[in-house]
Amino acid sequence: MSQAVTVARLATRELFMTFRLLLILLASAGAGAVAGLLPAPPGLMTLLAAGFGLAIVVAAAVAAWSLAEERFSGRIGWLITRSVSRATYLVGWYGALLLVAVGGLAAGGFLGWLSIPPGSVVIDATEYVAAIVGVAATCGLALAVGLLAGALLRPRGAMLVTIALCAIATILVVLLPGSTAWLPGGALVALAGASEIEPVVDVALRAAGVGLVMAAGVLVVCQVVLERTDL
Amino acid sequence: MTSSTPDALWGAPALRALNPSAITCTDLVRGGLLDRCSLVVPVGMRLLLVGQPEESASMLVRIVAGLSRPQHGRIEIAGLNDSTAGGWGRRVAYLGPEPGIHAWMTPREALQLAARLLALPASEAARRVERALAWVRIPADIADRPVGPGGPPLLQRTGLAAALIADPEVLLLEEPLRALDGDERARLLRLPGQRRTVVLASHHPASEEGLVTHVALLRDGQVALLASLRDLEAAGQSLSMRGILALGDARSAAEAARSTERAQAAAR
Repeated sequence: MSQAVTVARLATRELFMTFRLLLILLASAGAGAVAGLLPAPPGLMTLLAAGFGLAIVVAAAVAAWSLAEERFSGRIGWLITRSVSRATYLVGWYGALLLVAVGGLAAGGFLGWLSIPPGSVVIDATEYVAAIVGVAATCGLALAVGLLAGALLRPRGAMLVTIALCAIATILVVLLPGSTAWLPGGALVALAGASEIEPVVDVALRAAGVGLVMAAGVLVVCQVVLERTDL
Repeated sequence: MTSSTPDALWGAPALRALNPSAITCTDLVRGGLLDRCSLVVPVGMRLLLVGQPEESASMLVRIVAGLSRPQHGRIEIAGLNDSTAGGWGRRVAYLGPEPGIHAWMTPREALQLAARLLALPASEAARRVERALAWVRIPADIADRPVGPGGPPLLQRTGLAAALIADPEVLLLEEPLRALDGDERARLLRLPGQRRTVVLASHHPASEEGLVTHVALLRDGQVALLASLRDLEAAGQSLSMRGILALGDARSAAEAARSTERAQAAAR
C-alpha cells in the first residue's frame, strides 16, 4: 500500500474520530435531504444550490482547521519523520477530504434529484449530473484553498480566512452572472438557474474544468508553502 | 534488522579506524539560531547537544530530522543528502517532546502504522512491534487501549517505541521522555547497538549522565566545542551546562593563545 493511501486512511479515521467527517457528510447530504423534505418549493434548484454552497464552505473550513491543527499538534511531524514526504502527506489529506466531501455531495445530489417532481421540465438527468460534477469540482477547489490556509495560519485563523474567501467567491459569482462558467462556484449558479441557463451541461462542465485547474494550482502553492513550514 | 552494516562489523577495529561519519552538517544557517554551523558526528557516537541560546540545539536536531528547513547549508547522513524514503529517510528516527500521536490510537496501532509506513513485511512488522512494546514496557492490555487517557508518559513511551520500529542507524532526540521518572527514562534511552548514532538535544545536561559519550556546545550559531566526556572529566568539569561552558571557554582561550603565537611567529 502506498504511503499516500496510508495517510488518506489515517486522515479519514481522524475525521471520523473527531466527528468532522460526520459534519461534512451531514452538511452535504443534508442539503439534498432538506430540499427533499420540503413540498416542492418554487425555488427548489436555488435552495439546492445554496445548500451545496454551504456544505462546500463547511468542508473547506474543516480542511483548513484540520491541516492547521495537524501542524500545531506535531502530527504532521510524526509522519514526516517516518519518511513520508510533505507532498505525500498533502495528497493523502486532500484525497481523504475530497472523498468524504464528494461522497456527501453525491448523496445530497441523489436526494435532491428525488425531490424534483416527476415530469418536471426544470432540468433533465444529464444536465443535473453535469451540474453536480461542477459542484464537486468547486468543492475540490474550496478544499484546496482550505488546506492552503491551514498550511499558513493557526486553526481558528485558517478557518475564518477560508470562510471569508468562500464568501468573496460567492459574492463575485452573484455579482458577475455573465462570467458564471469562468469563476469558481459557477456550477452552483448553473444549478440554481437551470431553467434559465442554456445549455447547462456546457456551463457546468466548463466551470468544473476551471475549478479543477484552479484547485491544482492552489495545491501546488500549498505544497510549496508546506515545504517551507516548520513542523 | 534493516541496517546495512551489522553491529559486529561496526565493532571491528579496522572499520572503526576509518571513523565514518553518520551525520555531516555543513554551513547551516537558520534565523539567529544557526550561523554557518558545521558538525560531523561519527558513526556510533552518542552526542549531547546543548546550545546558547538553548533553542539552537533543538533547531539543529529538527533540521537534521527534516522538520525545519535551513535557509542555507547541506546535510548528509551516511554520505547521502537524499532525505526521501529511498535515501536516508528510513535510516533515521526522531523523538521530540511532543510525540505527535493521535490520542485515539492505541500504542499497538501507532506502531503498526509506523511499520506500514516503512513498508515492512507483515511478519517482520509484527515481530518488531512486540519487541518495541517490550522495550518501552507497555503491557499487552495497555497496548490495546487509546494512548490519550494514558497521558504524556504513555504517549512518550509509544513515541519512543515507534521511533525504534525502524531500527534506526541515527536516532535524533529532542528533550525526550521528560514525562517519565529519571531512572526509567535513563533505562529506556540506553539503547543497544554499537553502530547506532544518537544525537540528544537537551536543556538539562546533568540529566543525560550515562546516556552520552560526547558533548557539543553550540554558541552564537556555531559549534564552539566538541569533546568527549573524558575530556570534560580531565578538565575537572561535570556534565552540566556550567561545566560544558567552562570547557568551551578554556578551549577558546587556548585556541586564541595559539593563534596569537602563530601570528607573532609569522611577524618575526
